[in-house]
Amino acid sequence: MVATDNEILHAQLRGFFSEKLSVEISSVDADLVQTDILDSLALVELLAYIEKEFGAEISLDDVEIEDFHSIARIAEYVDAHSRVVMV
Amino acid sequence: MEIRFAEDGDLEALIRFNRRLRAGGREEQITLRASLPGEAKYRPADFPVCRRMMIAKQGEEIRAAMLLHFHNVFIKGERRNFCWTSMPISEGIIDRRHSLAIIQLIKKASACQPFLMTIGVGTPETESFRFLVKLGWRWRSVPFLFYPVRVSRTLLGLRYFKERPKLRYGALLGAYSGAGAALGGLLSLRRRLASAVSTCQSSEEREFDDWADRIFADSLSEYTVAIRSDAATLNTTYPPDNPAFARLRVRRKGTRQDVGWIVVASKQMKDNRYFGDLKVGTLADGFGRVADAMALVAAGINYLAEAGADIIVGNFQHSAWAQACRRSGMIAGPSNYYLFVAPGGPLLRQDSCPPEEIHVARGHSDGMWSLV
Repeated sequence: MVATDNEILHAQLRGFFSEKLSVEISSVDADLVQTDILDSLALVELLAYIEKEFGAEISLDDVEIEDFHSIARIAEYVDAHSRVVMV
Repeated sequence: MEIRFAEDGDLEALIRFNRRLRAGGREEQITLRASLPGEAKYRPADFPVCRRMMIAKQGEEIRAAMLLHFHNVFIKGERRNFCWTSMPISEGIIDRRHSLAIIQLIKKASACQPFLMTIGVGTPETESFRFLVKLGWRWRSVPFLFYPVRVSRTLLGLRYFKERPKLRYGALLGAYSGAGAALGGLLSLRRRLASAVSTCQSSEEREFDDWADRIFADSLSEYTVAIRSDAATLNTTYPPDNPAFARLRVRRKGTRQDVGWIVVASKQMKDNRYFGDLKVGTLADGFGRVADAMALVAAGINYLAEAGADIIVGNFQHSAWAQACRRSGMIAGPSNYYLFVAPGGPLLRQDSCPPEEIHVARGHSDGMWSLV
């Protein structure tokens, strides 16, 4: 079985939450905001991670919190803004 | 999210913002008066020192706010614009849906003025401290010094002693054995003797004037980094009609030549998280030749001791001022006071900008909020 790009991205983002924030995310659709996982500290760390790992240029003027509500949404955001091509 | 400077029409939204924070169980509140205390009366037209509020507004509601205190700093004599930032508060602390607002706000402030600084912030465990570190701000601890005028009262009143069992028993022993009273007497005697042999004397002034301009111009070259401290800046910051501050002008006995000045303040605390019910005097700010720092500190201590302070506190980054405090009998305590510089500001490096040659005091930025 071969993992899709999306699954790899989800796994990477899950890894970020696990390693950096010590939080295991049960589902890619779990709401990170309602569950208080994504506070401003975590957001700063997440934005830095996305910029570094995926070469995404994040313009804070355009960003909305809805883009980070879940791992699935974050993955969509990364996919749309990333300069790194997954192979 | 609309990010801009607040206007008069935003007042109601600010009140609602504070109300939501309170309802969410938080003590943090944004001030409703953005301008500096003396700005309306004492700030000359087009003067660069002023304070404005930047807000992040979503529809009709403010989601984050912070103060930007536009100022000048002299680095090796060269004037640079910078901003003190204070009170960054976000509704994200009670509702994570707004967590992004504070990040957008600070980024916008950085775009407006890349050289941002702040002092205070809180202990390294606090959200605000960790937040700035994550944003890449560099930081240094600013030494904290204290002087127990009424030693027994200080030993019994300081929360720091009360909350640490071993220190608590030591403090009780010191207070009730008579050792505290004896030490207080010795410190008082030392103050009187030092005052008698000093070559300087101080006078309380109603406002800063030409003499403060001369002191600033004459002494600036002795500081690697100094915040603008001429008369207009000082009257804007410590306005003459504010009785909370005392402005002490220090001159040589005999020649009456100006040596420098020091601003002090005192406040009777009530159930304060650090000082309990003590009357706390603060050495807020000061400037003069580095060699005369001790005369300035002594003038401040004497004034506050006479005014009935139980304890006198001060935070000074510059080594000459910190040393002057210690030589005047102040004791170095654990500091939870930090100087932060944004990535757009200069590196606080030993070879280019040594932290111990930066003259930063409690009165700069928002260090006096809880002490006056």
